[in-house]
Amino acid sequence: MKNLIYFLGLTILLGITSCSEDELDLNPVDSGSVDGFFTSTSDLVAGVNGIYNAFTGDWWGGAFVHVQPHFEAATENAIICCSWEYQYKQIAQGTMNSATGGVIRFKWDYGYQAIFRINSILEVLRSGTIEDLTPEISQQIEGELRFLRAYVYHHLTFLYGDVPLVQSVLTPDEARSIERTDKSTVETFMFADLDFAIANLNEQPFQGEFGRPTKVAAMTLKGQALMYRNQFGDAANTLAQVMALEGSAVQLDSDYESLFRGANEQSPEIIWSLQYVDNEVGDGEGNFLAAHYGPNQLDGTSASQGGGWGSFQYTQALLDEYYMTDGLPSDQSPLYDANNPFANRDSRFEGTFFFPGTVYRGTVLTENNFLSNGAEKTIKIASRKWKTETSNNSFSNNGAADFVLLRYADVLLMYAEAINETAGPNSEAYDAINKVRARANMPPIAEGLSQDQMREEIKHEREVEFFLEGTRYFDLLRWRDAQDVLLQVTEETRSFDPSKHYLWPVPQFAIDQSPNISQNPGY
Amino acid sequence: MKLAKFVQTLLVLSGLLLSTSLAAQQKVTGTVSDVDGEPLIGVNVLVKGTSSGTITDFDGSYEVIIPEGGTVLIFSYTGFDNTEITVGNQSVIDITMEEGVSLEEVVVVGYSTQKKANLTGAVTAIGQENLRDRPLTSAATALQGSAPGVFVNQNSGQPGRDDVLIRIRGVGTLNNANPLVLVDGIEAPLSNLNPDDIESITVLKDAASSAIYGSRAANGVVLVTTKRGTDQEGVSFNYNGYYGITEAIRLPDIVDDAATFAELWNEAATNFGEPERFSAQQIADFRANSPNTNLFDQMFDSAPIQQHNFSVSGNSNKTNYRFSFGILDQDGVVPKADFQRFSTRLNLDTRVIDGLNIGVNLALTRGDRNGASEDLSAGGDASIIAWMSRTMPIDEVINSDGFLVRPNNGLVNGLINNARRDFNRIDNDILGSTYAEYEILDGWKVKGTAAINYRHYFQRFTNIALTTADPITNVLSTDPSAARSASRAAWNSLNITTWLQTTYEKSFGPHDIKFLGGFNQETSQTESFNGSRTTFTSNNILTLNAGDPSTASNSEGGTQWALQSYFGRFNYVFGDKYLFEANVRYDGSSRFKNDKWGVFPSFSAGWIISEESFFNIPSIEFLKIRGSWGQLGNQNIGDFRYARNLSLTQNYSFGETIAQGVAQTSLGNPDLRWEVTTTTNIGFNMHLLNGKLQLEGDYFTRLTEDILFDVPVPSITGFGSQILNSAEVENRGWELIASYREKVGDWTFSVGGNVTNVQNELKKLNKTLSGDDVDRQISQYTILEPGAPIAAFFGYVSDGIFRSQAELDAAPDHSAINPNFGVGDIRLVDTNGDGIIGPDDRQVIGNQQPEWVYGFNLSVGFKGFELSALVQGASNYYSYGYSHLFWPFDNSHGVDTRWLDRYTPDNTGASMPRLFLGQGPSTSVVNSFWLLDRSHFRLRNVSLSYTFPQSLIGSTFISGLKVYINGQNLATFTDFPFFDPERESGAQRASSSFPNLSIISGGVNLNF
Repeated sequence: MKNLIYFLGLTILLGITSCSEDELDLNPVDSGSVDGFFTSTSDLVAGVNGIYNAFTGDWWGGAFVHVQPHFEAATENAIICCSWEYQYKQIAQGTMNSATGGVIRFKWDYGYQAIFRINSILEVLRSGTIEDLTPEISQQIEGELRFLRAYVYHHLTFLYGDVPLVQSVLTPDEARSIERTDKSTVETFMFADLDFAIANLNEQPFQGEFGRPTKVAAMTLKGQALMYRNQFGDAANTLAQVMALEGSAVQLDSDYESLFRGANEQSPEIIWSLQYVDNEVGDGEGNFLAAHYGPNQLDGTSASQGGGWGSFQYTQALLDEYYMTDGLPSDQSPLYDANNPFANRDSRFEGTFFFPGTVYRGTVLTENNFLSNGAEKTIKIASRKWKTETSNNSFSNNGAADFVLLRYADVLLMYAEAINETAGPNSEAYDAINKVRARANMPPIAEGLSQDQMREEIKHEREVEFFLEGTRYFDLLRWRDAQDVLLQVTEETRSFDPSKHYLWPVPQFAIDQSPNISQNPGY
Repeated sequence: MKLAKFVQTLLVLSGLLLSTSLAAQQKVTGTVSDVDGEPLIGVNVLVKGTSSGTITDFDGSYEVIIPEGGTVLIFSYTGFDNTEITVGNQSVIDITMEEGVSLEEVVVVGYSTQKKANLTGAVTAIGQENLRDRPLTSAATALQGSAPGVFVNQNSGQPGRDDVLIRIRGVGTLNNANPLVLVDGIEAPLSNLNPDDIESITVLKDAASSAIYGSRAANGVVLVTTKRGTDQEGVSFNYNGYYGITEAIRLPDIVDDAATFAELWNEAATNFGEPERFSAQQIADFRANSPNTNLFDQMFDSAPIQQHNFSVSGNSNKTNYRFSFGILDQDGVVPKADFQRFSTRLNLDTRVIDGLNIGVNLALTRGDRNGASEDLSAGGDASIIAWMSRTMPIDEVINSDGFLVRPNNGLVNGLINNARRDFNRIDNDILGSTYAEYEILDGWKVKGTAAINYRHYFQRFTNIALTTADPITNVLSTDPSAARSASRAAWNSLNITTWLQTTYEKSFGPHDIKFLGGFNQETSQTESFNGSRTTFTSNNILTLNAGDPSTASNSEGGTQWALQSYFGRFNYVFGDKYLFEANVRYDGSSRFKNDKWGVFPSFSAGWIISEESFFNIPSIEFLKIRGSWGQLGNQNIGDFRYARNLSLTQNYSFGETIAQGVAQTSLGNPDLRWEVTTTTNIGFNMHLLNGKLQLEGDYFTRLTEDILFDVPVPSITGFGSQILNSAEVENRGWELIASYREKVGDWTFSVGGNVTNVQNELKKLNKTLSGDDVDRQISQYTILEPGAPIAAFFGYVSDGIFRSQAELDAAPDHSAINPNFGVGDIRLVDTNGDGIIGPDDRQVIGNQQPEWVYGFNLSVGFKGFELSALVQGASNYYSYGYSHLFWPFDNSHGVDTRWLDRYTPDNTGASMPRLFLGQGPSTSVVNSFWLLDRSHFRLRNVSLSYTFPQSLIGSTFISGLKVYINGQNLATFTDFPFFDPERESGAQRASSSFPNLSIISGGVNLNF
């Protein structure tokens, strides 16, 4: 019996002493912690890489540059199938309000998520805690960070007008009392970032990694930012600097179609693009554009490899913009054949679209391959852009094509426009636009145009050149053309109120959290 | 069915039976009956002062061995007065017992047991009467309608995935509100416990009863006690099994006439100026010759369910034991879905020497679940319901050659999705504990327990390549090998719990005192590993090794937590009428950084007035009033929420090369501490009319403070929220239970009912606000706002449909909501009267938690027959019916038949608004038109059983035989449209709900 008591006593003693409070100090198993992470340049670079995730994001969760081609649905050229696709339909129809959500919230939330990530890495960079950081690398990284920040503010100010100017990491309390900063102040800040980037980025991307901004990218972005703000003189000067590098750093690619389909992603025409790889290789690093666009009912497989939902119906107005190869609109050209309406058009038509008779993934497409969300399309065409010939881009986020944000054709057309607005339709303007047309095998534009006529030519050229790149919506806003153009649509009910719709509503959520943030007029 | 296994087990058990022989000794036999001469079954017969004894069988008869020195037999039976008989020389003792007030009944409480009469807290015990003779697949459903204050919701009828949610006395937190579930003292899920192994379930509802579990008890505690061997020498075998047919209770009624479908689509498009999709010719073709596909009809079918349980229990020498083996085999009401569960358990206690007991509980469970996806109601790609409602009636799904047809004008052929995908998950669980208990001095015991709960599963997903037909040409083609994919996931979790407790009990004079003290430590580690590949050459070999190695992908997950606790309890009873109890628990948790430890005290007292000499109301035999106050904690917040997490997978590809990216993904908060729930409870227990009528009532308030809440932060910080101890929630309510039983001749009747009312109110949300800041958080459909229930639906009030242009013209301006509002759309109410419908017109339009929960039971017995029924319901709670089938054609779904009565100029009195494609003015803002009342009243269980009298089976080896038929969920009364009202409206859309099932079954309970 004594033995038993000793045994029990010992067990109890052992039991109690083995329970140390250290057992309550545990560490996460499958994720990291910010504290103490950033100690070397490679950690810092990983932090820079993490910023791009705010741009690419995820499918339904959103991103800063989300399904950018969907902006075509908010122009006269496409009708989006579904009101649930990120609320582009509400923008198109002028029914958006502060609670609309979708892309109207994505731009705000992910824009500021990117800005937080940029500012926090800038603070690490400047903290002096990275021991192996050389001044040269530090400048390049800072240039990249400030380029990205400028890109975000460029879009935010354009879409929302005045926005809070966040220059450093904010605490929640600081953010709760923040107000919108006057747009011009934000723009001044943005241009300072761009000038820093131009001065400090190299001609080659950091570490030679394609997809990081270069000096040329910074100059191009600055040119675009100036154009969007109607500062045509400065824009012309800036864009001229890019054009001076033609042949060395940049040039038009002879193969238009290849720029958008994954096979020629590092063409010298492409100045800056969002990088995607096939999901099967990269695990979540693919795009989700491919699922939205393109032909469907393909190659008779239940998995529909390569197919898309067909989010858009395209309008007759769009088709009419693709002139015949003689440079004339279809209703004026003898080349137009009503029985074969897609033939003999501007080569960019076939560069941008599939239609019956074209070949996709080895299959000759038929009229059955053109549905929009299950409904037969009126005009049987489907996007060729963002559709690759090989990757497994069925209905998932594994499209492999990079999404082009800045390219040299845009530089040329912006330059033509800037010159036309400042000096009128001189030969520089003609040269720039005709260069873009020549690549598309289109004849030069007519000589002797007035400034207004030239402006219309440039608008037309931009519409055709950049279709499905999400450019035209921004152009219509900056030209203040939206109230005329959007209402021409007959395929669905549209409205556009020029007194309010040139700016988006500030998301209600942002106002709820920071009551000093005001709403835009009319919302 | 695993018939082979069934037969095998039967053989093994028969073998056991034959090899067992009972030793015959000197004994007393007899029968026990009530005053009406009816035999009483299950009366405890104990030889006073010894551990020998038995229970009466189905005929009321017993046989007991009188050991040396035994002179008196004690007969005890729930609801009857104890009877003591001196044996003397008698070898046959027949007795009659009188009904009385049962004050000896014992219930399981935290770390111990307690006489029910002496309870001072709010405790509900569920016994065999709610567990037996029912085709229960999960023990949790036994609580449904049976326990006041307990709301049980079964989310899904998918075999093996009941998704049962338990809420005790409302929802007291914005975080995980699941109660702590302990099986024989070990935290374990109810889902993989064989209901046939359960002896009782106790629910601890107030702080007084649950404070002993401190930091994890804020949502209540469910204590499950499994069956053990008896203290009486002998052995008893039992077989208990049933076979039944399951069927989906409710399915959506979709428009499956293709021509009508096409017309509705065109109408929806035309209403909003969009082009028609179907030409008149197409519609005529549909009318003449269309598949009129309705996959709900095609894919749902009735399916068998069966369960077989074998057990042997008894006592041999100083050891009591119970061994059981059970099989549950359930087929799915949809193709591919099924579930089998195999479970075995051994509970063993043995007295090694006087004063020292050791024992072991060991339960092994294996689950095997199949389906076309893991969670057939998960929404999106995984939801079989969505596959069905996205398959359009205009599409042929199988052609005349039997090949699946690819969707033509629709986007989905649900049969293809179903055929391509396969899911299998095997669960293997071990729940085991050992203990040693030693009585050091009389009344002073020390007990040490060590337990593990090891759970493991391995799941396989595969996609095969199919050969399918072109919808137009009928040409067959086969998917490329890249369409084949396979993924695997392995998961395991190991919880180790050790505790040491000591108890001391002493009675002197009128004083009874009881101390309990202890230390408890729990650690938990969870790990998972996933891998996948695609591109397989054959559908038959989908092992990962056969996939294309370049497509391989893998990932890891895991977490851990630990908890240390000290606890103590003191009970004092004076003169069997004044009751007092105090508890304290001191807990430390790894889930907090700077503030790990918390103290949780509770006090309670009771007064048995009926024991007082001045109490002189003859019709009231027993009256107790009781009150309690205490504090509890909640640490159910997830692990490492305090940390500033750095996501390591924010990768980006430069060129074609993936580069690692990292980013901070949470703001973190090192100062997080416990949520504290303060509960006050007052209650009474009363027995009237010779104990035939029993009443119990409770009133409680439950205030939870410092609720961990992801306080929204402006997104300009880069984050959406930060976790803070911030919010306060109060639940107030009352519960009432009444039961009455009566006996007239051979007839017995009993009726009972319980009703609970809980008012849930958020008191404070965001403590960072000050002054006149509006403290509220609006999510897409719900709001968190002081004064409103948690996550109440928030939006515009709709008072009908615009039925004429005049009505529209006279109405407040709806154009700020959507400029396309027209006749036939939903009309919204200008609640603030400013003439414009705008955000300020929004208000709370419905709550998510039921205000009323109730259950009634009825039982009628005649001789061996017993008919019993249980109805259960909940009311005043809502779901928001958005998207999918609730809205016509939304997200490529079809349309349901409610829309046949939609507004058109010819049908202005319609119940539904004019049609739209997916989303229209009527859906442009959250409004009460789409609110669905989940109130329901359900015939949960009806059973009819017959217990064979001893006179019929006495000559066989059988000692007891009962047969029964049972119906579960036979009728539901609700206004909820086409899906089950139990479906939660939370994260997933109600429309992807896998329907709950009705079961009609017949079973046998056999003792030998």
